[in-house]
Amino acid sequence: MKPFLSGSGYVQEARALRNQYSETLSELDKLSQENKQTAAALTSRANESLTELVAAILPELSAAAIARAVQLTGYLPLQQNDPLVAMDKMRETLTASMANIEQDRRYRDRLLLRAPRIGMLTREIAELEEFHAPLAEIIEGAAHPRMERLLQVGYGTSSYDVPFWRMSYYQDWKAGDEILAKLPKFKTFAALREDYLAAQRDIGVYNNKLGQLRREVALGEAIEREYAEKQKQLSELPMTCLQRLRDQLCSYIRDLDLVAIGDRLAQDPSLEMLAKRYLGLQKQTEYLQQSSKHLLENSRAPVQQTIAQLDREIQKYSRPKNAGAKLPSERIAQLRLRNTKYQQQATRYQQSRHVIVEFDDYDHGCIDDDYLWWDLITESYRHRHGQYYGHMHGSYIDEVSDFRTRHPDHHFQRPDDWHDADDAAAASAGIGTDDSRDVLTSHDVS
Amino acid sequence: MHYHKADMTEAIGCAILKECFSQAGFHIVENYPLAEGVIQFSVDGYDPSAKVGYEFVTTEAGDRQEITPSLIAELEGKMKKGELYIFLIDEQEVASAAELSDAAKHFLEKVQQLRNQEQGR
Repeated sequence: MKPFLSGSGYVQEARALRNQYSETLSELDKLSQENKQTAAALTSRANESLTELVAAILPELSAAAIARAVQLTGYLPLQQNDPLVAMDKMRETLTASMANIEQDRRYRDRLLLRAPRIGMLTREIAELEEFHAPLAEIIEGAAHPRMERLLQVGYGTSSYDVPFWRMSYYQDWKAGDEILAKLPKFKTFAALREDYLAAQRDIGVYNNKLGQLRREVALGEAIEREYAEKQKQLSELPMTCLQRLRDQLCSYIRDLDLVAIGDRLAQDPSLEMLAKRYLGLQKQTEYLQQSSKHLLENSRAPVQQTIAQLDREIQKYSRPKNAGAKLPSERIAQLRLRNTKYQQQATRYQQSRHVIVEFDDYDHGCIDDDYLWWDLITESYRHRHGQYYGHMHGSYIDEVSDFRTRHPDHHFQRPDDWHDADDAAAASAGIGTDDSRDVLTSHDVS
Repeated sequence: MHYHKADMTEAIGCAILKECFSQAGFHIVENYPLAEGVIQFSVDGYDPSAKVGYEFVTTEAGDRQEITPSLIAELEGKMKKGELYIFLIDEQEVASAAELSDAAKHFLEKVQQLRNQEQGR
């Protein structure tokens, strides 16, 4: 590139560069979105593994099991307010409450009162509904916006005195015919009027009685539901109490540095395995979040700023008066180089994510303060694939950086059962089995 | 023609009524100055020789000031005696053109029946 560019030449270069930066921004956005989903999936797996760990720490609701859980975790509140005594008290309360309901006539005589077809209330309601139905039929059939007026003016009777020269005379006539058409069993409006007024008077009585009976049934059914609910609570009481204690333990362990109880958990190999899995998943989540922060999020703002800057410059140097301007091409070259770096960081993020998410070799981990899970995760990838991605130092991760500062000469000790496989894989990949991290492969991570 | 209640103006209502009355053979004079004793008002449509007509009462035409309850009472007195027949329609009572037209036809049938009875006596 020439050392100087004309105004129009600069604009052309800046436009091309702007497009490249826009693509980088889109890629960063896409990866950030994917990262959120991946992190959520890892968190969910970590929660599941914590649930499994806690279930193994407290497998049942007994004094011995609770004492063991306290000894393993150091969580004393588990034993406070003796949960077994509390459960017995709850059982007594539920049992007493159910006994009370059993004495209630509405529950005790539930079949006698509300059995389908034969219950006393059921039958009474059915009978009343039978009387109610024809009345409701008349009331509903005669429903018309002019019905009340027709009754008031005595339409169909000798007292009706609206003269034929008034429009309302014809409207009354039309409404009367429309109502009779809906209730063909009445030949005249006078006949309908008589039955309608009687129905209007009687239906109120039936409605009141039916309402009373239905309320009585609803109340009885509510008592039955309450009893059933208490019965369910009673049958599930041991599991509910156990779950409540496990939930407390979960909260406690989630806020705890698991390393603090690592030694105790290691006494039981099955517990140790579950604890390693939980710790490993926590580490994976943490590493993924930090990878996203340092390799994606931190690039976003400068990329956006550069796009805005380029927009301003494109506008400025597109003006005719700047056509003859001489502008240093070095700036374009610098910006292009910077964009390449952002893209490389995005690629590094993808590689890190791939390595982090693929990891499931929890058994080889260690619940120890001086243990770097990052090494295990990256070495496990190498063990599996016989190769590294480049730049997997992970120095942008706080924990990794601290560890390397504290242990400058540290070398990851590969598990014994990896050596043979590693040697063979390294030989076939044509790389050494030392801890060199400079090997860059083009393994597809998409 | 299809009219909605909101469209039923004095002019439309009167046009429908005039059509119905004319079809029945009446010679309608619009805004006829009726003067029968104390009854003094301009009828929307009236056949002076047959003494049959219509009055479409609307607020728009200021009918509510002119057609007072006492005037109606006087008119109804004459109609009861068969001296004249005026179809009285309040705009608020009309839902559609068809309804107005049907009512007018029924009114005219009634008038015809009464006139026939009078002639038979």
